[in-house]
Amino acid sequence: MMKIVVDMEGVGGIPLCVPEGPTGPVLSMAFSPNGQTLAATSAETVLVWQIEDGTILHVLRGHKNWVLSVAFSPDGQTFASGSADHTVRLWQVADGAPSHILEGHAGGVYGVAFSPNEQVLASGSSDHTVRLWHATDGTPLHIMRHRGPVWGVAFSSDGILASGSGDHTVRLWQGAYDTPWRILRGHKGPVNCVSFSPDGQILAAGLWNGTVWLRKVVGDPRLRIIEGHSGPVWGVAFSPKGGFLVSGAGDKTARLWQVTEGQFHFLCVLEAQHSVNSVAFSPDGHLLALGLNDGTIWLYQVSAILASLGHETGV
Amino acid sequence: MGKVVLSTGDVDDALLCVLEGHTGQVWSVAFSPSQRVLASGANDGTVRLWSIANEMTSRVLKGHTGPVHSVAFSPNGQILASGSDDCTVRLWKVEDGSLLHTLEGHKGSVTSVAFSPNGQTLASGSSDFTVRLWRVEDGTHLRTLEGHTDQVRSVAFSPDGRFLASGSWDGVVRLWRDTEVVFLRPPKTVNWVWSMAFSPKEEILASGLDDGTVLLWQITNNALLCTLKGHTHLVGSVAFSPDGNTLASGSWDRTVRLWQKTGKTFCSLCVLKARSAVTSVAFLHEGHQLAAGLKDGTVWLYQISACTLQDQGKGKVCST
Repeated sequence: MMKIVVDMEGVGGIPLCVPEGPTGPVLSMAFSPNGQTLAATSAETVLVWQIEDGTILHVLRGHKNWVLSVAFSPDGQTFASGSADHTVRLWQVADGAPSHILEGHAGGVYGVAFSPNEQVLASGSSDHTVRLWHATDGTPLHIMRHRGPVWGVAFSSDGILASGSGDHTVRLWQGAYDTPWRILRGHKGPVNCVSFSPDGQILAAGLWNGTVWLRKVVGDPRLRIIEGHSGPVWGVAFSPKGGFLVSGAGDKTARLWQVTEGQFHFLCVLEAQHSVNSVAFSPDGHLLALGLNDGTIWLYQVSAILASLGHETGV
Repeated sequence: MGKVVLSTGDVDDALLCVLEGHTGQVWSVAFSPSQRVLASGANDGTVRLWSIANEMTSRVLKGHTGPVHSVAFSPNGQILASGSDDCTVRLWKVEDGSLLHTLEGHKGSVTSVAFSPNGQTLASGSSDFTVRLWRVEDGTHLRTLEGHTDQVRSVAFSPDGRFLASGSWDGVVRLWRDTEVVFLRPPKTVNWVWSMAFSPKEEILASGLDDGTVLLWQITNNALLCTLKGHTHLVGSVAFSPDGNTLASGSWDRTVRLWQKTGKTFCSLCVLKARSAVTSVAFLHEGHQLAAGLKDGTVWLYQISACTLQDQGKGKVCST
């Protein structure tokens, strides 16, 4: 396979302005459903960026320790953040005002995700549990257990919840949530992050050992193991139409794959100056965001990446 | 009041001065850039704060009822933590030397202390095989990390605050992400880990071992980058300069070795001689000076720029 490496500026990558004052690694990012803003962690705060001009719309303050995970509700009205202070907080997107503090976890909250029907918020924590909450008023609904810290959670479009854990499993939950609907085993190491394809058929899991495991949600789960990263995979994301997969890793690169009818074709390596901690596609699929360990966020035009590849490979 | 003895040039040209005052072996030194204060902890049960800008006078912090093994400044320089044989960690206000909190819980000597980069959490390693995490604000015990099978001798946070490393006489460095652990261990031999330090710029961890070697690890993929050889006795302390380009290792062979970053590895830069075993090292003033704590109870200050010019290329060793 031909390895294609492109530098950040070379494919139209632009850094969002670096915030002033103390900052921390961009551990988690989320585009708003209307695609106009990007929320990213910055130490104890969440910065909500206006993408068009790179200004900061809101600074969400209140967490007493680092924010580890963020998510927008599908209707774009509510925003959730999980923190090393063991709490999950809900915010009103319109004005950035805090609405609820969800307490109960006994460890850092490394993953938050809203169900597609907007009713349920799931949170995964290093306390080995996944908790479900009422997404609007924060009422606790359910507690599910892993045998290790939970580093990532994701809902599929069908409402299946996936949780990736340091116990080397990904657990899939649905219905009554009392027992896992499926337990995906065999991963060679802790699972750092999980993401569903938009049709809910494929689950991608990023591992500490640098591999990305692609599993079929229904039937025989074996699909493919993607190698290439030489550091922990911290983030994976499918593009909204499912045509691309991106993985970001501690080896200071992101890797982009084209997805065609369940087949994954390697496209290119995006080289960064620091660990890539989080990755996200904009809802229209035009932008790819990489959140780095030095607190900066890089935005790419996906079309520019493809054009540069077409030029180089003569396709 | 500490005594300052200026170098007469007979020991080493790089030596600036010798700080005298402790009445027992110095175990640990730390420097606060913001306060321009050097701290030293010793077998006499005291911590001394040396005012570097102001004629090297020292203040004495008394309270521990056993030897002080480790000292560390909070990132803003306002709080000093000290770990002792009396099984406690004490937090001191640097400004006036008052005791803020006494952290109790360890069932053995506290061998090492380290603040998280945001200053909110303190980690302590102990001869009771555990690492404890504490909330700095009020001294509350947060969590106990278990798993080591021998004394924990060193703890260090990664500069981005995402990882905590603990090094033990069981020969293993454990890298903690919250409660999860990854092991760093040399492939063949098992050597006691005495000391550790993270590079401030890269995801590289240095560990000093009892066989005199220093190992450099790429923490994100568990890869051993290189093995630095030269010391003839255990390496009790390692420290990176603020720019990450120089590594200092202090050894019981009575020397400090400086290693310079060269590409992806580190090469021997020079050897600083001392009068007795070197238990601890710390860089001062953007890395232009170095403090070494000695077994004879003194703290030696070296001018590194002099050493660089004088000894460059001597005993050059690059190892991968």
